[in-house]
Amino acid sequence: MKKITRKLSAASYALLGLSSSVVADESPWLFDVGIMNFNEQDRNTGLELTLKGTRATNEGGLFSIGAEIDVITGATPNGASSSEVPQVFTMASGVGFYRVDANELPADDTHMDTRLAINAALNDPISQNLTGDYHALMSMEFDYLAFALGGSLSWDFNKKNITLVMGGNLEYNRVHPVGNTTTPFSAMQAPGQPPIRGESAKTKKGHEISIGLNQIINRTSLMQLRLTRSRFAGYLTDSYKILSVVDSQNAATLGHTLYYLYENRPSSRYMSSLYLAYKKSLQAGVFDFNYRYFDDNWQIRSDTLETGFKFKREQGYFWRPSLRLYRQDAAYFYRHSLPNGEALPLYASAELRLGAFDATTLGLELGKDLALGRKQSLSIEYYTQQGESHPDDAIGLQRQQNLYPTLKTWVIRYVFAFKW
Amino acid sequence: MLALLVNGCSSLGVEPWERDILSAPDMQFSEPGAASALTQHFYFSKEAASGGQGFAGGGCGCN
Repeated sequence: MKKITRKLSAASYALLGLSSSVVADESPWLFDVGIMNFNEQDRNTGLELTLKGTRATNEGGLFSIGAEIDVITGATPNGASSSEVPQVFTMASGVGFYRVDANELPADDTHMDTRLAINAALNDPISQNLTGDYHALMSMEFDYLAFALGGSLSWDFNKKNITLVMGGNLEYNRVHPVGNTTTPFSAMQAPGQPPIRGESAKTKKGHEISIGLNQIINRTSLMQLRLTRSRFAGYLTDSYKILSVVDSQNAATLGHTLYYLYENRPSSRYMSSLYLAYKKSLQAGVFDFNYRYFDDNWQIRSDTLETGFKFKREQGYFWRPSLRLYRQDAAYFYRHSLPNGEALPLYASAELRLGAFDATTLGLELGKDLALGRKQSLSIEYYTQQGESHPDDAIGLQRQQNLYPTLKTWVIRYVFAFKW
Repeated sequence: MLALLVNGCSSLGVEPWERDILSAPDMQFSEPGAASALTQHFYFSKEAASGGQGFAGGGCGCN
């Protein structure tokens, strides 16, 4: 076992470019393991596994290394609208095709995505009141590669009742979609026909800065504030997403889908968020609450409110009901479809994630806190996402279609932590 | 804004020997555990807004 932990240590130091002398040899590893399964009704199924090991350093800080593996299969909405007749779509490779029944949300059921990510982080006490946190991440999918590097400085003062935090993060992403990147607003070709495609790979870069404050209020409560500003630039379009072009000229077939165009998004995105959190320890357990305001230059504004109460029982057992409420406005270029005979907009996407919707998560976690940092818990959550099913600008036959079907998802998560 | 908050908050807080409850794992904001990582990745793949407590980049295509 010692051999394994030594090898794990050596690998993790290398990822952050550290000397092996940084980590205390006799310190045990605290492993945090999680498994999550989500099942979207009529859409995707996902399985995600995460493993993280944390160990004390000789300097009194913490070092961690982790890995995430996830597999998503099922039917992913491709952006097209449902139609009164069956539809046939060409696969991303340009070779095969898939069919979607009449009145069904078009989704690519040939889709399968796997991801492997590794990350490392170091918490480093620089002085009595100053702490540095550094992290690195690498994430790989068969059509996507991402690297991130960042850190933050935390400064404690007023008897460590106040902590000021300033941080930054740099991210580099490279997307190389199946069949190459699509040409914006090019038409989806019939299966077997030469697809209209662009470069094989494109990049997206991002940087973020955040500033925040943690405040201890009294013996039983504390609060947190974070302001974050980020900018992503480069290829932000999703090559797999299309839009339906519908008939807006003929009364008899008004709203009927004629053909499909690949989407086009702006090449930069500025995002800002304000995050507030509060925790209160009570006789029965711990109450927590947080709120996030988010907006960006795509005119997506959102509010997120989360709250829960961890009811503590004897012998470390607990249960925690939770509620999360989320809403967002649509991106200014979100269109459920495009009418033919009109000039194309500069940008357009029909991805449901960019539309206006409300989402609710109801959750229940059952678990047990054990001695020496060990714990385990099982949680079940039900997530629903409701958008505008029958928008005012739907025309003709579209009015009989549900243009934003409700997403219903069950999420089951099991986590456990143990020392080794 | 932060300076105002810091100034306004300077009267709040506890003495070092009054941190027994606050030192419990449940009272930490930055609990970088497995549950948090899984949850954040789930919402990143479903919603347009991200970040807040952590950074907004998700490191995935999330199609």
